[in-house]
Amino acid sequence: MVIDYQDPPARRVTFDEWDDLFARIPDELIEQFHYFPPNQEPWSKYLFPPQTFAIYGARHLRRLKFDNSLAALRLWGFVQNEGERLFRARQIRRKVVAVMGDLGPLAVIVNSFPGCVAFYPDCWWWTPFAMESKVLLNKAEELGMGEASCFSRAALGAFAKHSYFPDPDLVIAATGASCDDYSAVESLVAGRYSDVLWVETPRRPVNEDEADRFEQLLVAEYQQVLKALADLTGTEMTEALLSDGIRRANRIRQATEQLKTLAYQDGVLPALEMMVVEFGCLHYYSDLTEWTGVVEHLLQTAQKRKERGERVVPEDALRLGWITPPADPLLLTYVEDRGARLVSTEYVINQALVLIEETLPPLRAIARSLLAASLIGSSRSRLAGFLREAVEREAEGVVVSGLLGGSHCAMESRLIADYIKSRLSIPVLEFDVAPPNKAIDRQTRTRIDAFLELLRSRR
Amino acid sequence: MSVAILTPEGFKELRVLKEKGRRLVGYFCVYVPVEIIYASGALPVRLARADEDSARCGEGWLRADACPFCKASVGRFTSDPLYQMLDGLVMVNTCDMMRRLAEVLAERIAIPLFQLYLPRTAEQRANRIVEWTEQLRCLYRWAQGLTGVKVDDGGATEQLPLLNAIADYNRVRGLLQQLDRLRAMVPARLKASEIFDLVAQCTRYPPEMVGAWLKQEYARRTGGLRSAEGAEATAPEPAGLVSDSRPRLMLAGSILVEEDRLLLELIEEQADVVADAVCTGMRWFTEMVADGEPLTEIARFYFNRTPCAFRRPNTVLYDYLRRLIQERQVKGVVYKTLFYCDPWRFEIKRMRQELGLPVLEIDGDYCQENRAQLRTRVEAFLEMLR
Repeated sequence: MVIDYQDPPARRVTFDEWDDLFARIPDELIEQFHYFPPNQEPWSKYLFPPQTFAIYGARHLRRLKFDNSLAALRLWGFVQNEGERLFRARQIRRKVVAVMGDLGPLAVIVNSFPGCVAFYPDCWWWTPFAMESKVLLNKAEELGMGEASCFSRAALGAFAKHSYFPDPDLVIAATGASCDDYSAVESLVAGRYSDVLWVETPRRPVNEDEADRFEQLLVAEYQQVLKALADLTGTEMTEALLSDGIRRANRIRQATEQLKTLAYQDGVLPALEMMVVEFGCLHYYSDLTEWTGVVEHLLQTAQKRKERGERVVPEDALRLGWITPPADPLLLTYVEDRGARLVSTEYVINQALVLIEETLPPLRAIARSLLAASLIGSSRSRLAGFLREAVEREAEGVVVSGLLGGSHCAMESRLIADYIKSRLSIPVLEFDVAPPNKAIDRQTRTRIDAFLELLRSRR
Repeated sequence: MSVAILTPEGFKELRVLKEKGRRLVGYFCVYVPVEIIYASGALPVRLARADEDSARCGEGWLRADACPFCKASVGRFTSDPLYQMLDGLVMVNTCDMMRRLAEVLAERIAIPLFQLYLPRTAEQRANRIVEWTEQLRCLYRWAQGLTGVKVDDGGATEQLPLLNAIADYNRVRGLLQQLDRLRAMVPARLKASEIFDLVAQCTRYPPEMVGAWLKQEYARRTGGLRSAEGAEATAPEPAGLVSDSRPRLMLAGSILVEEDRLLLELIEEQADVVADAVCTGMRWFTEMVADGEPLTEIARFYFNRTPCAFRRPNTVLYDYLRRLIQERQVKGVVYKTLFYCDPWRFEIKRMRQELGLPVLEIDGDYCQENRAQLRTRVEAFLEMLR
């Protein structure tokens, strides 16, 4: 069925405008979008008026600005629906598998098993921001993880509350050369809420010999995962299934890479939506098939905009690089409001963005993709790709947004700032993201303003 | 032997060794296999020194919310003669901050550095042990490169220095175990602060040197009833009856550096710390490397040793604590953590629940300004136990 609907000219809109926009979309079109395709059951619709999500708790949405395309509405509807989707997965007898801490590869393996849904409790760390509520953080504090830990402790609170996602059928926790805060979350989950299958994450190899050995180490770890999943599902994994899983993951990664170029180079998509897409490569918001549709819809929209010469951020906006996850979407909204745009990002998840080699044996290919990870190596190796993009796209300044108590932030923020200054000779702004709030705290806002003013004066 | 040997004057023995051509290799963590460094001809020297000044100095390079021990360790390289004597440094990726400390030091300090990769997951899977063993082999090659002592025939000649090193360090651990049992006695014949001092010396000086000290110390503590040599074979059993006049405590938590002795002394004014789970205390000597192919056994020993809280799962640590509590009739736990020491700090609630004993939480850095407050808290805790 072909439904006539044209996106309005590209721009960022407020929450109220966004809600009005929804009203103009034909019902038949709204009805088309269902999670867990090819299922078309009425319960699986996910495109609702944005107000719905705010009413049900995502109050932060009211303070953000959004891309005004149908594809972006679909993106947000899909993302906001994830909790419901997981409970529904349980109802329809899919196996719900929590994948923690590896930032990419394990979700590829789990999703290769028919009837399995992988989700990332890691990503529940956004929830306090989206809801402007400290409920999850407070719960984590009751369990021993207070303000000295990063916001990822929200995942512990979510486990304890038993209401943000169903109790998983299996928890797979990767740890090793990783963040201590999240490793502590995993440890406390293992101690209280679930048996855990532990998976080792080696550091980034220092030479080729070590790279070969680490691949073998990881392959053996992943074989344990396959065994646990086979026990859970009653399905034996085959090389063909795994290869298919890799191809599906790569399809999303390719589309994401294209989108990054369109967003950060051509300015046809806002930084906020682009960040949501980048993080989607970790876990596909618990539905790989529909997520593929969401990302490709956005890609088509972005390509059309480029063809038409439409932009959502002005071409002469200040060009910024951004490093480490900005926990608060308000920040990205704010810098775009103040006349800047992102041209390069490093959100510590690059292993979820690189293509997995399709010519290698599948587990070995997945292992190799992990060994390129940002978090497991040195700050210098982490910055290599970022710097290349920053140079190509002529970044004028870099924001390093850290998290108080984040183990890697404490140790590497200074190194990163110094390294960027020495390599690019451009100003660097370093700050910590404040706890969830209705507005950016005044000090951070002043620092961002001063930084952007400085960049403007250097032109 | 006394605490005085831990002062800078005490480094003179190390200076003498260095002047004679011995390479000094520094290390921070209990997971660094000293036997391998020692077998290569170098002397492993544990770096467990930190104070307020060095931590403040480290803040020039690290953020304020970095682990105080990491900050102080960086700072020490600019001021501490012990750190400045080093010819090499071996680090191991235990917690995230220690892993990243290696990068910070490599960027800032010109010293040969080897970074070991230890699997964080503690279950004994073959692939993990194989990789850890290979890491140790690489370390051995690196250390031999540093000292110029190269034996690479893959046979008995290569194994001999390792076997000797294992024997030497096992002997030291055995002596420490004997001495440690004295602090479990009623009344205690050795204080925890003394045990920590002994461990500090055993991890800094050659085993042959500390072995003699330990034997003398044992003979002295047992009233000359046992000969120094006999100490290894026969040990007094801990008494079955416990006096309730002084509370019996266990110490657990983050690394306790030499400058933290003040805390122990403060506690020991009114109580006995009869057990601990600290890497600069009992955890250094509580097990031995087994007989067998030396590299394999060293690998097994370090992979399986009583774990630091950073390992996953860390249930073995809880088992160890419960066993100590029972064996040594512990009545309360002093849980000392460093600010931002994630592996230990975030276990506290679970620790309280699992151990079922009163716990005094002390979270801090190397600041000395809160000593009076600390004293009040310790006294209140001990009062509650009585």
